Formats: sequence, C-alpha cells, structure tokens
Amino acid sequence: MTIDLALRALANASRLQILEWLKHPTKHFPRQVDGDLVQDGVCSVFIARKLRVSQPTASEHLRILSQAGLIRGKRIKKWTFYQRNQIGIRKIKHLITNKI
Amino acid sequence: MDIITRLEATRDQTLKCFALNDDQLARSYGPGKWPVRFILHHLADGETVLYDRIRRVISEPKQVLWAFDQTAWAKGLDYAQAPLNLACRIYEAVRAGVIYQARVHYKKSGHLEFVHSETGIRTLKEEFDKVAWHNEQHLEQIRIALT
Repeated sequence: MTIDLALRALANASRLQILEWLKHPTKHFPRQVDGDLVQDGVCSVFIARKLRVSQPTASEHLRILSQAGLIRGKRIKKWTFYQRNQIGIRKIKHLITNKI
Repeated sequence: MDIITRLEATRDQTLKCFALNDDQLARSYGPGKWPVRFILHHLADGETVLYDRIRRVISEPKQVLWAFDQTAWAKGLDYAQAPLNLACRIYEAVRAGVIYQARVHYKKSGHLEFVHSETGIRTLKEEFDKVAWHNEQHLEQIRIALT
C-alpha cells in the first residue's frame, strides 16, 4: 500500500461513489442470492449495474480500489463480492495526515 | 510472483486452452456468460488493445487512451465463426511483444502515465499488471466452465 496508489485510486468520482455505497451496502444494494451484503460484501455485478457501466469497467475500478488497499474482494462460487477494507482505509488516512 | 513470471504462466495456460475440443470450447462458466471460445477470442483481441496502449504510453506518454466495448467486438468480429487458430497465433505473438516490453520498461518506465477514457489516470506499470490480471481472471472463468 502506497500513498501514491491510494490517492490515484481516490481521484475518480466513480471509485469514490463505490466507496460511499459500500459504507451502507443494505441501503444501496438489493438482497443477494449468494453472499450476505454486510458479511461478504456486494457482488461486482450489482456494483456495475448501479454505476451504470459495463462489467469490465466496474471490474477495473474495483481492481484499482483493491490494489490501493481500500476494498477487499471475496470469491463465492462464480462471483466476487466487495466490501470496504476498514484497516486499509485507516492506514491510508494516517499516511495522508502524516504526509501533508 | 513477478510480472514476467505471471505473463509467462498465463500465456502457457492460455495456449493450452486453444487446443480444447469443440465441446469444451462451447461450455460457459454461467448462464448467459461467454463460452470458452469467445473468451479465447477476447483474450487475443484484448492482448492487442493492451499492447497498443503499452507502446503508446512508452513512446508518447500522457495521452488519452480509449476503452473498448468487449460485447461490441464479440458481435462485430463474429467470435462464433472467427478462426480460433488465427486468434491463437495473434495472442502468442503479441504476448511475446508484451513480455519483451515488460522486461525493458516495467521497472525503468513504469511511472509513465496516460489517461484511460473511463477509469482516469493510470501508469504503464499498472497496464502491464492489468495484462496479467485480465488473463488470470479469464483463465479462472475457463476453469469454472470446464469443471
């Protein structure tokens, strides 16, 4: 995890929106057949649909957020579910506070 | 695992998939999802697009580079009928080019930036990582389709 990677991940309205939605997944996403919205995270298909982008574009946003340590993915059957990585987010906040 | 190892490992696994029989190529990893044949065509086309981006970033950084609509390509380029052996040769040759550029530029020029039309500012290093990641994701789909 680097501050550079995190800042570039955050410098995009769609990715900020995803992070915000994942704060309260039950408020923003429908119930899922596989995977609990809170325990397991939100299926990437639902994130793509809500963001109104193609699946590959959503996957790319989610990959960038994952690499930056802001979210984490969990594989269940054929799907990947995403939730906020609270420890990673705290570390990044700390890095930013120290840096500027 | 370093980038060269990932690129070589995914290449070797993908090339084996081009030799699957028609029944295996027709299998899909889920309802409404692409069959293996389509995934392999997409990997060949995706490789050419990513290689083009990589060369542009190395030679003329800070450009806007455009996303491509994979569904439109599958339809427009008729993945159901297009010859798979041609896609295989394209994939193998272009991956060799990607590996060569990764050996030369991954560390030395990885910081070079471009603007992706949908996901914003990206670096050359991230684009090399994406080639490996993209291939790994589709290999996983193929694995699911075949089990």
